Amino acid sequence: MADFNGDGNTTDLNDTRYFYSAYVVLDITDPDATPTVLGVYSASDLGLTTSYPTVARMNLSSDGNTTHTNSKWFMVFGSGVHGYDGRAAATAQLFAVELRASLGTAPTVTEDAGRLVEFVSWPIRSRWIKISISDPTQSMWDGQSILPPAGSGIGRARCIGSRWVSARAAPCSTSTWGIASGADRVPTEMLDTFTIERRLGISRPYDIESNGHLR
Amino acid sequence: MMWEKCGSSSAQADFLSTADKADTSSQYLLGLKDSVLRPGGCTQTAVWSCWEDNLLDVSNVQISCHLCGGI
Repeated sequence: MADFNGDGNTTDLNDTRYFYSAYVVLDITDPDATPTVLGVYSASDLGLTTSYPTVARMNLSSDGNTTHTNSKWFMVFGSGVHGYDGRAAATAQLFAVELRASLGTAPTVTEDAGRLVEFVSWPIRSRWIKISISDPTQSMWDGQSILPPAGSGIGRARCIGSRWVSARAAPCSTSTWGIASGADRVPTEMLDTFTIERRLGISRPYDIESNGHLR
Repeated sequence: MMWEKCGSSSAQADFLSTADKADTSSQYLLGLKDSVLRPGGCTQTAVWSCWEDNLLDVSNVQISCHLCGGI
């Protein structure tokens, strides 16, 4: 709450504002030209996310890798905390925004809705591998962090790692990601808890080629 | 073969609390091999159907290298 219109009080309708993270898409194709804003996405359930957006191209496995007939591009990121104490006020979510000429309304993929209500995906890092034109994305992983209920102290945070695997089947959309859970599509877990209880941060996954090189 | 590497984080209830800043708890690094993408690997049928929780403690593993410190 602040005196945004400078009239000496903070009682006006627009004096109470809520701030969320936002993602801005810029066209920087021509390095000599002024960047052009292609779109902005923000939502109240994004919270104060610090998730790095990850760009992924999805394509049907039945199509050629370089065929663009059915392929789509997505920008994927996770939700963040809802307060400055690092706590969450809502279930964490994974957002997949289809990158088109107009961003439009973002298709939202809900993570574990209703199963674990007191967790937050901060820090969540969605990293998709194989984002090149000739190698469509098939999977991604993220980290989730579960907060203990308020006042419970330490020791109830748990670790979760999860994966999303695309069926790469029609339609080329988020409706084929993960597995079905009611009306939602949810990831499968890689690791729930291990010996100790800590929040888990997920780093970038990597691939080991047949020659032993990382990529 | 797909590996996912993970690191543990705070054990405090509040991420940004004073207790969080002073937390000296041991931290852990984990490497998980994804069994779903492996040919003939795990088939996802439920959220918990493909856990990678058969962890091996490699705390005492010694590593060797060449060019160490020379890069």
